[in-house]
Amino acid sequence: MADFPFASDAPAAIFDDNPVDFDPWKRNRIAEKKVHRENFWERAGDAYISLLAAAIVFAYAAGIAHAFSASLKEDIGGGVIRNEIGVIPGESAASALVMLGMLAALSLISRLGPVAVDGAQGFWWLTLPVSRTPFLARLLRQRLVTTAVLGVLLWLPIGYGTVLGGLSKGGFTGVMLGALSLGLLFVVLSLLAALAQARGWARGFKTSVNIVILVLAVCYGADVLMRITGAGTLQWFWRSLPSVLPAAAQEGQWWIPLILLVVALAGFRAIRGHLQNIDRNELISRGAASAHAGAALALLDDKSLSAAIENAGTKESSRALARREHIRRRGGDVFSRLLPASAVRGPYSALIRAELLVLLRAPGVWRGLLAGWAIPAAGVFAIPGGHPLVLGTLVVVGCCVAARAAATAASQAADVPSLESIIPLGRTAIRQTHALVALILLVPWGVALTGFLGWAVDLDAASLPLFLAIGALAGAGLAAGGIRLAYRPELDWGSVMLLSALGKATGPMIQHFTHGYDVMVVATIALVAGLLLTPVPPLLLLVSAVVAAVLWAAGTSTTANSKVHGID
Amino acid sequence: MDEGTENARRDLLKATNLVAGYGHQDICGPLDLTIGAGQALGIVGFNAAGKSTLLRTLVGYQEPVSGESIILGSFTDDSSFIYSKAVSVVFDEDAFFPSLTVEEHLQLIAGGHGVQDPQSAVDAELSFFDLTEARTELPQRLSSGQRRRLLLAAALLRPCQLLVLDEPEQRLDPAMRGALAQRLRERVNAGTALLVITHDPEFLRGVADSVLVIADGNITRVSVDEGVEAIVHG
Repeated sequence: MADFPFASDAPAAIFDDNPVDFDPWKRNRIAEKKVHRENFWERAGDAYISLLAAAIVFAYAAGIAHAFSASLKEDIGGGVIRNEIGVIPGESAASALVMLGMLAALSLISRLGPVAVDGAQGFWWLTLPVSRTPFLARLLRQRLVTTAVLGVLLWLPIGYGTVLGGLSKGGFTGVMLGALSLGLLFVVLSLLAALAQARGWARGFKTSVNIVILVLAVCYGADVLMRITGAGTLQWFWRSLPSVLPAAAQEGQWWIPLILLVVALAGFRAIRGHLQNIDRNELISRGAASAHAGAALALLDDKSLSAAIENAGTKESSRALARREHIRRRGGDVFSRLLPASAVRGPYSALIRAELLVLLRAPGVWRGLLAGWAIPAAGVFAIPGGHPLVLGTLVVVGCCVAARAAATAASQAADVPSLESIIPLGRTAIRQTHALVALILLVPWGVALTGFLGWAVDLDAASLPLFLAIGALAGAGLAAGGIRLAYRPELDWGSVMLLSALGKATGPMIQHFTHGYDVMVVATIALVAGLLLTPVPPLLLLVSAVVAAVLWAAGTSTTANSKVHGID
Repeated sequence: MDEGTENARRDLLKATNLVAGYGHQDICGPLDLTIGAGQALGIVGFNAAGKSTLLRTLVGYQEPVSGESIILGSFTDDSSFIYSKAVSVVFDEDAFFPSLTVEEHLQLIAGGHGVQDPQSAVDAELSFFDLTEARTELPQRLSSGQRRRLLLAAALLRPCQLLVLDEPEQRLDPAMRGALAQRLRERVNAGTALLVITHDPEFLRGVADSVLVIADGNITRVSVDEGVEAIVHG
């Protein structure tokens, strides 16, 4: 090996604290251009496919929004809910819903950054003695543009749907103004999240978002109570939320996007100067979460996507760590003492104990069950919620959310098949045990939901027991659906597109995404039918019992997976 | 620069009562340590003893459970320019720009650290690490050993006062291990401080002046011979 005089091996100098005048971003761009030029047609093809996919999604979404708003316009007021409790006007309910969506977007943005670097940038750029501000500002700007585009694309079908359905007077220009406003609102939210990162407020920021969500829920409940008791309204509150801005812009308030643009530009300018302060580990962990979420999205793996978002930047607080250490020293927490290992008498009880411990310790389970109940409940108190289509949709969505939450432990177990292989039980028996635990949660949940809905639709006394029983049976079907979703086989990319008589079909992909949800939706049919058919026919109870039995078998069967994994 | 700061900088790294771990869970420590220019300290221990955790904590990549570790008298924040200039770190993890060649990765480091005559420095490292043939390759075409050598080349290409390496001998052939040990020793003799984790007794003997042995959460500073003994016999 040649003996080289390495300049860097010379006696180390004393360094100063000044940055080197070098822009790594520019250096990479120059080098990358050579590679990207070769792939021009490949990139052009990707862009064409993305545009086509966006256009198709837009057409479908606008069609659904159109049909929905047209249906609402025709039948408004002719709902199934008692008139005295359906009190929140559609405008206020929409404001609350959009605000909730914006807070969810804010939570998502703050989990994935918005300022983040990928692994290579973290290793090669962040170790350089150069100012991080220019390239972090560029990365932030890219994210801001992406969120703005997402906001615009999200509003377009809603805007067109409401215009075509006659709910809005805004024309093409109005829809564009509304879309622009939502896009810019997303930018402002991203800048808020960036400010929290630069100031090191990430944890406090997350808590603040949760508090705002809680305030929103409390205000909704308070407004319902005030309206029912005639004590006034909180209309002013809903009208003062930023969520009304896109709709107002669509109605011709052109200055709204202009002001939002000024706020966004000023915010970016103010935050730019603080980007250098963002901690290296913070930048890398957000980048890793973004990469995980991006890969899950590219593979159309919604389960992995949820995990990426939930685990993004998860860092236990020192209080939580202290608590965990305390639990470790005491040899277990209150749940493990409540369900002692000494009570285990065989594989079934061991599995049930483990599953109950997971459910008791996972706050997401209880949040999911509560949200699943709150979704239809919020709809019941809104005037448009009385529409059978709206109420039916909210009930189905709420049931799916609750079923997913109740199957959390099964979902975790499905991710680690080797854990289950050490339990001396057959695969079907294991799934039935998982389903049994989900059933323990979902049967009372279903009874509580039907009890509430029965009161909301003013069900007669004779029908109520029938309807409650239907709720319990729906809970059993939902438990089976949750287990089916938890054990959804991996998407077989080799058979994503099948040749059919009409050309290539995406059957296997649709089958993959509906796996689990199919059972959940069927489980709720009798429940929704019971809401609309008063008095509830006794035959409906018989039908729902048969359906629950069939769904139980379908949800806990292991045949589908055996084919995919080539086992059994 | 006043005399106090100058003296503090001679103590490149100073750890006081440092306990490394995650959150409140101790992994190893406590440790009191000072490393000055021209000193080379090896770190040895079984797998999962906490070597990398300790190293990450020493250089400020991870918060200590208790105690503190100060670089250059006052810096623990790697966003300061002086830290980036003075400390060169390679842990056992890699990430590359998929569209940048081997040579372009090294040019990035040379440019970013203001290396004089950057192309000559890059050529020298490519030659030393036997990467000249692969200079125009993209990272995905490299073998695991080549990727490891590229990271080491990036760490050694730039000037620094403290060099921090986590098992640099991994995925290197014996000849390259020997050459690397010799080069690191020369660099230490020229005034650079070195912190290195290794499982290789010969490598340790070739580079280190003293050794930290981590066992059962305790950290003991021993001679190189005792460090070698700890690797071979546990």
